[in-house]
Amino acid sequence: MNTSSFSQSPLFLLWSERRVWGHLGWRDLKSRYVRTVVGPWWSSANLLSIVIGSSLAVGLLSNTTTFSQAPRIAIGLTIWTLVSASLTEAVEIFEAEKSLLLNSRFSEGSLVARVIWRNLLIYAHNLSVVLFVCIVSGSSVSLRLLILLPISLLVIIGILFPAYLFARSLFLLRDLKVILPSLIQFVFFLTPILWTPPDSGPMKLLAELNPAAWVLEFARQFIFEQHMNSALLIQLMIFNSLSLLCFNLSSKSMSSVRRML
Amino acid sequence: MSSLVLTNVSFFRIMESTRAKQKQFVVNNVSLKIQGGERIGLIGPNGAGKTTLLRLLAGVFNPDSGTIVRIGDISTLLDGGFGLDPQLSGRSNAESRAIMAGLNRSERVRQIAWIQEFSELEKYFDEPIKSYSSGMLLRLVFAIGTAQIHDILLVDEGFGTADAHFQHKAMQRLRDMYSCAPITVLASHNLEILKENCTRGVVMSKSKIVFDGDIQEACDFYLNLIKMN
Repeated sequence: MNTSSFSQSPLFLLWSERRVWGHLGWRDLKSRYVRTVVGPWWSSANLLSIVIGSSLAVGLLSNTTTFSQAPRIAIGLTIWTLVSASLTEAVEIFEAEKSLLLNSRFSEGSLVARVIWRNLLIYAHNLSVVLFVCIVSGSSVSLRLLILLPISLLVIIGILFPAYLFARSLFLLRDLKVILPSLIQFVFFLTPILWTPPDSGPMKLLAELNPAAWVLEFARQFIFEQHMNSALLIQLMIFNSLSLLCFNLSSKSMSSVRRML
Repeated sequence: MSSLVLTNVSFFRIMESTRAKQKQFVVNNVSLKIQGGERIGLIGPNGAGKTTLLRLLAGVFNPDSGTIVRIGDISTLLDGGFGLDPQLSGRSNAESRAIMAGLNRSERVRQIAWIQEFSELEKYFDEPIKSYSSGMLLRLVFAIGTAQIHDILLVDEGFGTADAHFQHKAMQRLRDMYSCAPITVLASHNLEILKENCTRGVVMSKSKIVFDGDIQEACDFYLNLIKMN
């Protein structure tokens, strides 16, 4: 690879534009919560209400202590919110930033990175919900909860290519955009967020094939079972490497969405 | 020495109105060599490909075929309002654009101070831009767009210049920019502005360059072209 093609590589562009998408992602939040009193904490309050509602429902359905599952659910929903919000917002970004794409050299991949970054900032706020739920439900709170910080890095690297692919595909095939919320909801129920994977059967297989489930299982095992599941970690590393590789190859080979704007 | 060299450059769009999504060339096999010191007037009817050519020159679009060699920093005045957030203040938006332009902290402070002074927005500079009148917004957009001068300046006719009070100041700023930048490419339908500011004229029609020469002759050629059509 010569210097010129390296400097045009999507990953290099993403790195070289980090200050800009970092700033724009932060600015998006500032704009979204302008003139609100608690700002992004509204998102955390929203998440907390879903965690409480889901925990109640799961507790009642499974005949367990009402809030015994709450910490697991809180971790699941916090990570899932990062994944699902990144995917759904990435789909809108090319349309929303048409003017930016037509008047600057800012790369398309960096726009997707901006969306993921702003959701990572929300995720950082949402971690307070996990802490709160762990304390209130009487679950042991330990430094192991800090694993949720490096896990967020695993999630955002892993989500980069899927979010980029979604953004491009749904920009070009607008019919799919309509069914995206249903699709995400479908995957939500297939991911062990509100349920625990059984030891055998089709649901276990689904959890084994779902990268979002790997992240959840890895985090939960580390926090609640004091067990570092190396096999899951290796799976995630491989998935993330593939995500980066695909992002680098696809965003170079696919034609620009700019011509369609 | 700054220069822009295009060799056999083509760029197409996908036509969405047709079922087969056909390719339509917007710039078709264009070659152009611009040396430092030249001020180019880009002329042509609507849909001729002028704005797309400017975007290709700026590196916003990558050509589908052919090569573009750019020597020198490029600033563009295509749509000055890009990337502005209506919820945020003029100052915040000016800062965002300065960050997008890659300026460091001290350069940003200098540039924002210049934008505030030039736009004459005074206390409104710290108000959300959604509360601006259209004239105030144009002032901000103009000041942000023209805050920096680079080696190569690309200007589209759509770049507004606000109300009558501000217009004189804005035109003077543009003239200064045209004379400071080693290369200027100015796309416009206003032939008087082109004759006043440009040395060479390039006429585009139906995605191709149909005339390249002296600005006066280019304007005459364009007028004849319109009459014939």
